[in-house]
Amino acid sequence: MQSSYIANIISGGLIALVNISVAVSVAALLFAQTDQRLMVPGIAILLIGTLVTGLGGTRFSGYKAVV
Amino acid sequence: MIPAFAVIVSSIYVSFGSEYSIGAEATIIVAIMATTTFAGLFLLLLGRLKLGNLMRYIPYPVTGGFFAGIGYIFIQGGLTVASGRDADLGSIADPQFIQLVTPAVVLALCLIIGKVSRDNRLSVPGILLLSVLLYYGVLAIAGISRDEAAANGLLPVTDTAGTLGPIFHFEYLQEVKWLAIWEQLGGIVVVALLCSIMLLLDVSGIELIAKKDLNPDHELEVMGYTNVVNGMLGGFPGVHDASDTALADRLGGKDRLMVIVNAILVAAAILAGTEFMELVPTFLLGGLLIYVGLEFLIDWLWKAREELPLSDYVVVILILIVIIFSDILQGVTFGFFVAIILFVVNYSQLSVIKIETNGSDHASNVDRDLETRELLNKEGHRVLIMVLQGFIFFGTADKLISAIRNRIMEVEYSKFDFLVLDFHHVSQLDTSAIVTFSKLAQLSDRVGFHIIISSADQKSIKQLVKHDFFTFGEQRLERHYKEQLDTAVDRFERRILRDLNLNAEEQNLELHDVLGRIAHEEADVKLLSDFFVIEKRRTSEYLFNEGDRGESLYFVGSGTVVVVLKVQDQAERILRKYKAGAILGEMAIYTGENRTASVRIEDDAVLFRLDKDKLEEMSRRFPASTAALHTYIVKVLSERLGRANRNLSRYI
Repeated sequence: MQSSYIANIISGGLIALVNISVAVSVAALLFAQTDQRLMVPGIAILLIGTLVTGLGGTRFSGYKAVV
Repeated sequence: MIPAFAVIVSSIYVSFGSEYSIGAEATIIVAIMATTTFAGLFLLLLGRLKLGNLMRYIPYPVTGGFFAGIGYIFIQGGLTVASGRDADLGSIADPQFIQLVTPAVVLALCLIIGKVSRDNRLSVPGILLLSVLLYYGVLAIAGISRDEAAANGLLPVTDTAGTLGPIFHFEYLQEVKWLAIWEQLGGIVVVALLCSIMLLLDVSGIELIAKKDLNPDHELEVMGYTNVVNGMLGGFPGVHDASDTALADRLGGKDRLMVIVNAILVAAAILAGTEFMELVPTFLLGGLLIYVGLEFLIDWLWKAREELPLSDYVVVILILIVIIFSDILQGVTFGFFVAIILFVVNYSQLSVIKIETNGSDHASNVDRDLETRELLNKEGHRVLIMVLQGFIFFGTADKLISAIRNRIMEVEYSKFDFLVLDFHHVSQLDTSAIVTFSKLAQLSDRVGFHIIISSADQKSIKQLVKHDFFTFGEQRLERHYKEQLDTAVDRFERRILRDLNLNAEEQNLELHDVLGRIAHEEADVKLLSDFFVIEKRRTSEYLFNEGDRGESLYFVGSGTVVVVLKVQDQAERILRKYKAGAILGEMAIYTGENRTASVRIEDDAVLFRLDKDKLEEMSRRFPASTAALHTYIVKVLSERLGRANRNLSRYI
């Protein structure tokens, strides 16, 4: 039970690091190549997408550990 | 999806003269919001229309190829994250690339070895934590500062500072160039389509990860509503991600808590900025991605080679190759087509002919007198019966006509004059099959055989009528349709009897004629006839009903009598027909059981009834003459049993 709790926290943290890293990379590819000033809103747009999709999925999907 | 968005973003930027302005930024953000909202509404529509079950048509090897492709993308992503540059084949020659990715690859291998040797939920996080401590320990001992490490690519640089929001201000609205967004409608629709395809593929993959069935229509609706909200908040369109879900699953994240932790950290990054990412060593994320990628490849390339049939395994490999040289959607699409082709090839190996038999072994359900039946058995080879099955299409239709041609070419004694094609087990015909049936009509005209199609559905019949199957040529040979196989065979049995100048069913037999076939001595005929009662029955009358006591047997002198099965709330079903000379009701006389079915008069009939007590009296008084009757009944039953056995053997 305890290991399951810790494993969920650690995996959630690692997934977040991967997601943020991917968001930064994609923003660089998608927005910063067009204009460097679009980088910050670009990262935010990607992270909001990740956040809302994750929360919507875990709240309403048939599988609660969906990201 | 990223290339589609790149086109939208760059096109809008070009419409502003390729120069940054508040209007350009506002228009790009609103275009993304519109795209996300539209994608959400599209997913919602698909879910409401119950189109999610299209996912069930995704073949298993395609899902396997999809996962193998994800494995490759993870490895490539891991190498890119670890090296800070695009990883391709040319990178291998770059010493700096090798230097940067080596720790990540070593970490990935340690994770795999660690999981193999000590598989528990904390083995992966434990190794990761240990590696971070080791990493910062080495930096401290070597005296390398954080800036130096970042400059050498050992730590990431995010190029952002402070909060990332808010991304949109209401005053931006007046700056938005709506026409520029409208012009991107094509791209917006493409993104919505890609979202739906990716979601269905991902749901298919998540089912394997979760080891449970999901309702794809529900998942479409969930992601539909989510993206509508997402669009309103200015988020990028997103759907369930099988790769991230698999990554979390392999790290031990199997509950909602994992998603909540992920959400808290992502929200923190939006509010506080992503600078903290600069503390996470590049090899850590890189190694993690490589590890998961390797696990996918081990599962779907290494282990699957023994678990999947060769053809399915080849599909997995082909999808992976296309993904490596193109992208994941193209790989999956290609794999889907290969899987369809393999299915067509495999399905066409199945014989379209379920059972092949002839008129001797599969007689009609019309009982005639014993001599006529034996005659029909002898002539039965003239009726070729083929019970067809499955979907008759371009892959199988030609095999059917080839089989018929082969029968035509066979030795003379087995030459058939009548062909019955039963469609009871046929699901559908495609256009190629219809054309093949037109060829069959030509063949029948040229070679000279009659054809009856039986048990076909209305759609197939309409197609055959449309292509003149029944009306082709000079009509000197029959090409008909009958509702049941038995009626089709009966039609040809009557043709055979007509060819032999026997019109058995139109006979009006006297009791003397019937008994003359049983007892050859005139004196015996006279003795037996005294025990029979002549009954004249009208059409629609019931001779007896199911469950009645079996007190009599009957010989049919003329007319038609049918055995029927009464099923509640359904029309009566005719099981057998009896014509002049046939015997019925004899089973109950011998077994003493009640009637097992009802018997109705189909056409006005004359019957010769022999009651059970009369039969017993006949046995006592004239045992020798009665023995002839018993012998006759045994012959009738033996003939029926023999035919039933021969027919049954075709189905085994």
